[in-house]
Amino acid sequence: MKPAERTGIAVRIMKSARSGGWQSKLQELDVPPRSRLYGLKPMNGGTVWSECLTSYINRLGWQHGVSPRTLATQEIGPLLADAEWWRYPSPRLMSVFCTANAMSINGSGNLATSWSALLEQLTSRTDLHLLTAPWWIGDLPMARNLRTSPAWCPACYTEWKQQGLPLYQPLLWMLQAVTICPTHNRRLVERCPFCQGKQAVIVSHKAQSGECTKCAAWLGTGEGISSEEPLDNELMNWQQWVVCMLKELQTTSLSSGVFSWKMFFTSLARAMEQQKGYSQLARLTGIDRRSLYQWVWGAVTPSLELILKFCYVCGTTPMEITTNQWASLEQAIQADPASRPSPHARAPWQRVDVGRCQDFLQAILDGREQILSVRQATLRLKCPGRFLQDHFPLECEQMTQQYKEYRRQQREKYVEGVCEEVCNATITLHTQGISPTRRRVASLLKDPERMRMPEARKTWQVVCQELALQPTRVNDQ
Amino acid sequence: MNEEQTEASLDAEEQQAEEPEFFDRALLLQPPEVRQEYFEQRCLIEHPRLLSALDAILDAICAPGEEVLTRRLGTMVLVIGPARVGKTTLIHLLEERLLTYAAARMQADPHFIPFASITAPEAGSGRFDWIDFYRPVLRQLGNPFVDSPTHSISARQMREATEAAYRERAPLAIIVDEAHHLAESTRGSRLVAQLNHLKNFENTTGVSHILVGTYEMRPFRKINPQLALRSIDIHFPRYDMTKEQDCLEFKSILWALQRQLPVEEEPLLAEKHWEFLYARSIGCIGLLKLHLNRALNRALKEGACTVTLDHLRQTTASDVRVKLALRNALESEAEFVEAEDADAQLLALLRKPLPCPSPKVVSGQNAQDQPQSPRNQKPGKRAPGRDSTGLNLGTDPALSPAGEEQVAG
Repeated sequence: MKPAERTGIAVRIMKSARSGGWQSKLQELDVPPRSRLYGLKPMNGGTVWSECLTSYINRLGWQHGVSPRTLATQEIGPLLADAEWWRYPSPRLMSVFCTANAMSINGSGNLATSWSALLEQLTSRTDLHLLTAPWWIGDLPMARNLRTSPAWCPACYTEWKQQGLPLYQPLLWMLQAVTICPTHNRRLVERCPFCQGKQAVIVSHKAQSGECTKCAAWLGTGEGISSEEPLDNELMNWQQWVVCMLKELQTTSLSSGVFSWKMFFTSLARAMEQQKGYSQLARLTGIDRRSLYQWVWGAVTPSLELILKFCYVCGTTPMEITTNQWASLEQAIQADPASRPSPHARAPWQRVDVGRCQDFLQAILDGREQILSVRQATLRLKCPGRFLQDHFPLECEQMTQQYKEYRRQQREKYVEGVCEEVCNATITLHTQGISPTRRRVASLLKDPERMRMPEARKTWQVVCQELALQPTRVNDQ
Repeated sequence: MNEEQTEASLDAEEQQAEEPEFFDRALLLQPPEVRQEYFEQRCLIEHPRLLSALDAILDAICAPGEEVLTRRLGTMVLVIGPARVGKTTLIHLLEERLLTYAAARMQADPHFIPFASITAPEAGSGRFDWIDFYRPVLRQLGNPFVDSPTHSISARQMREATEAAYRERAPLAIIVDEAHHLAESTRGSRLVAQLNHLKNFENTTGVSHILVGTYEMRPFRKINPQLALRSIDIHFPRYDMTKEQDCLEFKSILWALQRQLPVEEEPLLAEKHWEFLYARSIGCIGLLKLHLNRALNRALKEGACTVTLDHLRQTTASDVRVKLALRNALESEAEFVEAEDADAQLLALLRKPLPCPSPKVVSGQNAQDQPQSPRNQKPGKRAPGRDSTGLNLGTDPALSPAGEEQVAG
């Protein structure tokens, strides 16, 4: 070619033929392989609203487009020590595990350690072990500190949904010591307001975040949720103090490692020995003197709630006792009465107005008062536990039947409303010339998840048949 | 004399430095299939149009500056060119470049995946099914459940799962080859819906889409005013013989390729047969390479010491096919050429929002001889429209009222 016709055209010779995707080139670039699962960031890590590990597993599953149980079965199970069980898990046993036993994943035993380690390996994260309870409450046994099933605050769910934030379960809600939401000052709920069912820890495919794992109802505030009874100030003060203490313990654990309660009991033993305060403290706190001895001897490890109650009444904190700051404890031993009332002290015996209770129950049965369950009536009348059942067995039985009937009617009304909504949506689509597939009809409902109800589907099928639509045309692909 | 000799030797050295490299002669000792594989699979020619398109794509998805991974959020890039121009090679180069740029970030962040590269499947007899898009994207973005035989992702969850994958893996771009398949069996509002579907992903996750396809993607450019302004077109054309620079570059490409043909004797393709090779490839380098691959295969099978014109003729595409491809290319290329007075047209439209066709000024004709539009029905009332100001705006068929000329008064 003539010199004038030359332009710089480079021919590059590749080392190997073009094959495979970019993954095959990672080694050449000295890049480590990508994480097997998404590296989802835990919600509010390092704060008192930090997510728990089971909530993280649930969210991880949903982010991958599968149910959390599927994620556990396919990705985590085969790597566990008892991998054989996970290969072909019996549905019933899997349900039992995910409903009850899985709460231990948030605790301190082998289950928690192995699951957090495996998740860190799969997600290439290093902070998932911080989502377990030991990093909050130290090396206490978890049996009496973690709930058996998740609790939640309906107002928090509603607020997060309105703000477009992800719905998750803070570890705070999993602790038995916490009974009130510190943000909304309302009781945490443990049962679905619709089906009264307890929630599964690791969710199956039926539910999404914020929904009941049994009936898929929305667990936030809304219709069907009974109004909250007012809380007394003492309870709120106690709970706020508990949350402060948990925050203190969490900060200590994050900075210095898992908090060891051995130092607390050792220091407590020394303090009580010096001050000769066993009897006084037992009287103040309502904790048996023998139990206090067992604490300091190490024979019994109390629950976190009991330890916090002890410190609350004595006007001290676990950290103060651990660091040998006994001033408040000494003051408490010398003072009488205690600076703070015991949050679990039995209320002094009060005479209950039997006549008033009977009138109230009769008013409920006659329809002059709102229909309540026996438990709700007990709380309203501020009676002791089984007072009403013991004194008014007949009325209580009638009330129970009445309340069951009321709940059944509420449910029927709800179902009727949903079926009507489905019917209207199907007809609307049909009149617009659009094929009313199940998905399209669901998208027109106030809550698309209602379409999963068997009654809703039945209604949809009946309406389609009445509109003389062929089944194949309306089935979802 | 010495100075002249020095200059001549310098010139010779310069010339040698500019010449393309030869293949490694040791390759001649390898069996034919190895030599074929060398030329066919491993010789990648980085020619000006390819590199220009590559740079344009990178500019579109990454902001300029040192931080090459500071990406421009949510851009749709349409890379359009004739068949066999080298679009798939462009994609390979783009992947290599993105991997190189992203290596440091990949080392620091084990979740980050720089891109997903898929091929849009054909729609078959029906409409394009988005599941066929989600599945390979999820596979590329490392979702281990997409191919699970027992616990796969349901169809209902695919879209959400894909959106989550975009957010968690934070790829720079999703590269879709054969993107013209998205438009198959799809017209009008459905095509808008298809593109809006992708646009929605871009808006919610900030991930760009790079759609690479043939001229069948031209409707994507102007299907909808909103989409038209929110996407970037990159035309990857063939080399045009009517342009001198293109001719030079084509010959240089051919010269570089001929030196990589692993035969004993260098075939003088650029010197003797470039016009023939140009005609049969219509300036598309992919087609040229394909032709040379086949010719080399024939030569190696025959045990020839070079690639001859006979080999080229035996393996060339038929003129009927080439004419069809050329016709399509010529029709389509015209759309990508802007009018010389495009700026003036736009400014005129902006100043005069009502479309006003320009008066046809034909030399030697009286204005009275020009055809007149039907007058307004009411006598004595002026016809609507502005008086001509003498500007020759040219006519844009998309904008001016068709077949109507307004006469003042």
